[in-house]
Amino acid sequence: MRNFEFIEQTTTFVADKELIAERLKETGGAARLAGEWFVQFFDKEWIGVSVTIALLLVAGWLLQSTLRKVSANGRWTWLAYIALVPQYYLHYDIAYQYAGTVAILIMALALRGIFVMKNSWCRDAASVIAAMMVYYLCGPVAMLFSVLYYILSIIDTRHSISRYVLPVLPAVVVMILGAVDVYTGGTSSISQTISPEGYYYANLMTSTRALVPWALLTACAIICPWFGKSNILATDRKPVRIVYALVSAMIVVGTFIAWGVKSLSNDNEFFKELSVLARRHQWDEITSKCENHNMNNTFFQNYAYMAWAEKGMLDEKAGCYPANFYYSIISPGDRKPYTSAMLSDVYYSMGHIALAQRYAFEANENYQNNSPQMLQRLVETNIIFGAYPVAEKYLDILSKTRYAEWAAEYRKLLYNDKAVESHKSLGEKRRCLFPDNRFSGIKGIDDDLKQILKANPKHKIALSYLRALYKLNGQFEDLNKLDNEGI
Amino acid sequence: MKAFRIYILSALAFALLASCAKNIEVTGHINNKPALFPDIDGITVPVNIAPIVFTLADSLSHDDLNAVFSNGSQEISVSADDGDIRISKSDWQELLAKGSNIEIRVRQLDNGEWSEYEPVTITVSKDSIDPYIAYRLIEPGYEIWAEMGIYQRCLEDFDEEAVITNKTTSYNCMNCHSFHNRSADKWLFHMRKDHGGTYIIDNGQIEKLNTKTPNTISALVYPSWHPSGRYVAFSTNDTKQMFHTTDRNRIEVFDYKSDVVVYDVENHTILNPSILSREDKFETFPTFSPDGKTLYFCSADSVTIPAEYNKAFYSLCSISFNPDTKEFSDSITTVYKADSCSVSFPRISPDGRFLMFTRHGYGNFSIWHKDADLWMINLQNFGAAPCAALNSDDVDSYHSWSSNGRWVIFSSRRLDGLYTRPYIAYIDSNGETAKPFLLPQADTGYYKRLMKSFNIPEFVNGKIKTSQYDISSKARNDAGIDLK
Repeated sequence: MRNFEFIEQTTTFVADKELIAERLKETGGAARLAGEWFVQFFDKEWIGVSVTIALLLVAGWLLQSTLRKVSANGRWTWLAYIALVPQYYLHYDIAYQYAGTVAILIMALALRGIFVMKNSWCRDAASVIAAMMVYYLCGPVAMLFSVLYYILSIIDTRHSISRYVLPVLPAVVVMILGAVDVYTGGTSSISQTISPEGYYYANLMTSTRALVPWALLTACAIICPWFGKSNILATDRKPVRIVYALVSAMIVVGTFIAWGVKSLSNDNEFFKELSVLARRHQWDEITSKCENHNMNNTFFQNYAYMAWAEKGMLDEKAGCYPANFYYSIISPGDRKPYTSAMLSDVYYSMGHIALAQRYAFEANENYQNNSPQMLQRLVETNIIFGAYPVAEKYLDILSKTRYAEWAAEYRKLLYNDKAVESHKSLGEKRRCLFPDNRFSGIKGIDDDLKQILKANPKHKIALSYLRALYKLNGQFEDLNKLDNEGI
Repeated sequence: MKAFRIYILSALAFALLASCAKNIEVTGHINNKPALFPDIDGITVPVNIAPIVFTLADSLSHDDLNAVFSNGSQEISVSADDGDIRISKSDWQELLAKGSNIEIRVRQLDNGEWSEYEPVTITVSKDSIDPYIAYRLIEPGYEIWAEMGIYQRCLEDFDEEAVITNKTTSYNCMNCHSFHNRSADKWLFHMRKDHGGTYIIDNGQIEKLNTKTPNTISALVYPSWHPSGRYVAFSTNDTKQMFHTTDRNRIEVFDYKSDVVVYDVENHTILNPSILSREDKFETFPTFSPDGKTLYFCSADSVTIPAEYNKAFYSLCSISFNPDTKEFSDSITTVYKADSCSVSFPRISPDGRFLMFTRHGYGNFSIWHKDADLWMINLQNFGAAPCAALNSDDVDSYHSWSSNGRWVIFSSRRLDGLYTRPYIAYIDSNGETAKPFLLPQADTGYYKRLMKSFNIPEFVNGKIKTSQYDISSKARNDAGIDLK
């Protein structure tokens, strides 16, 4: 699986003082920035997996520690880790932002900090301030903080007013802050400000699955102290305690594995894998992986045929996957950023730079203009077109990311046509720009491909795409004509 | 004890100030003017503009930077803050208040030695500028959009505020904000897709209009308020866009059909005169004259779209309008005949003497045309000429006049060729334009960071106070008024 590597393609951290200051002014901006900071290192899958598990383990430990504070004993507090298992798997949803997990961690830290205080009056006062800070730094998770605080306070406090009334204040404050955000246009609905919905990309589909970890943590706050009061599994014998710890750890790990098996979509993960491999030009790996996967999906076919094209074998392989006509090589767009990114790859491969640029722009826009993969593509396409000032703009951004080295290399090409023309990859693509301008696809994408071939006969990928397109569409007359014309 | 504390604090504050104020000894001279970003040499600014923040162009390396602002006897030295020369608002206002030229001497430090460039000059005009502008921030994109919104910016400082963003309206499209005589209290804009309609805001009252009727080509598009506020002229357009394969213009937006209509604000009716909706013509971009008796618009012979997209040449035309009877005259006057070129966005100065328009090769969507330039017609003798001081090698397009007619704000892609930025220029009583300046920002990196275009910059005479919540509630909960 290459889920975290895929996430790294979609967002990154830009080390720009003013940009950071602007983001910090937004509700939840700190969590988003911190999320981007972590994600920038996820160019290897194991880093993403390890960091995410580590963050959640720390969050689990903090929550467990808080639960211990209010429980008669800590026997059931390990359930906090179980509650965080689904949070890990939320990151396999393309629409979910990494900020969600960072927010949980900061919330857990705030909650733990609050329960250091023994005086319930002071604690209630501090919880209001903490809720406001958590809301400002992390956004909607402040509501989870408030709910957990209320439940744990009821359990932990003796005074009647402080027990039932004052602990409500954090929730009230968060509701008010959320309403203010809605009123001032910071967001569209109250659910965006107090529920995990706020951690989804703006115009991608949200899922109620994000509520599961919140619900489980709330359940933990009720169950753990209650179980702790009972005599269930009450013992002080060391061997029993060791066995108990081992069994509970096994249950956590088992839940982790079972949840993954149950919730992960094989197809989604395969798409991400293909996307990452395509970005890295690992064409052999793409074709071999496609041999062992159900290839009914046109997105998979797009990637697979692109790999065959890059390997110079598209002509002979066209039709080797279930028929979807020319959609097999160029899927219709569905306005999703990951589809646009895929189409940008496909068009770039065939040498149709204008459409590669169009889809890269649209993908980047929908990834909040923060996708390093698409920014790199926009640098390439703009340099190919000779639109150096705008390529420079994107390079300026990339130079403040982990792609600074790449940006420095490409900066050498700015305003230097000779360097571009002799560049192994960009030079080849620039030669694909054809003089007979038209609207992309207006005479059929096949005619655009013929123009690319006319402009750059050495760009055999365009020819293989053209032949594949005719084959898959059953346009055998056109295919024959192509052979007769000697293209 | 208290007094002692005050002494200590005062001493510390003095030490801090002393350490901040650099004692610069200039030992070298550079025999040319500095290349600054933004370019401020020779610009004319209004007496109430926000401080101009600038820096040396990227290509010029240096260890430190300092600038001395002088205006007569007054001299203010400003050291670079994170590379930017950022004069304080109070010092800047003091310089502006004197109303004459400001000279700026830029010094740079290299290898421990300070050198001074030739001074640059800013002319201060006593003609003030409207305190606010409104614009849409949107990616210069293709078919799919993400976040966009209409924003307002105070020109006297750097405060920017959202008027309405699509975060609150299901990420729909919103466009074509237009103000009645630049009033912050009476204006309109459109929403498309979800919550589609035209929204008219009049002193806090919001009206949602369903503007597609059986007798019009489309919902209402490009607006122009009648000076009385009783009418709004609109175009109706059947618009599509396509993408060039090689042309440097990238995108082409064109109309398959278009007409001009007038909306009666009081009766919720549309006047659809046949003379402005001819089958053989594309009519668009209406604009009323300041006296309200003439409607200017652009018109082209209808051609086959998209095949002949580059043969649609829009001329500038006018027609008389009687606001009392709601009648148009029977004849159309061609004010500027477009031969192998096209006119877009006619805008008339508040005194009615000048008309500024965008001139480009063909079609009507000038923002994607690199050859688009601003031109001016003297309406007293109908002589037309390019506004040479305003134009660049890249797109120079959408423009609007200030209330006093001494300033225009326009959109230009001169910085990077893609992202539209707002420029402001002085226009004297003879219609002569001065060198424009880029809308000042608090730091010089702003435009490099911003991944959105400034779209349709319009002057506004105050702050728009209608809340986003009220507008978005109206959008979500109101069915809207069907126009007749």
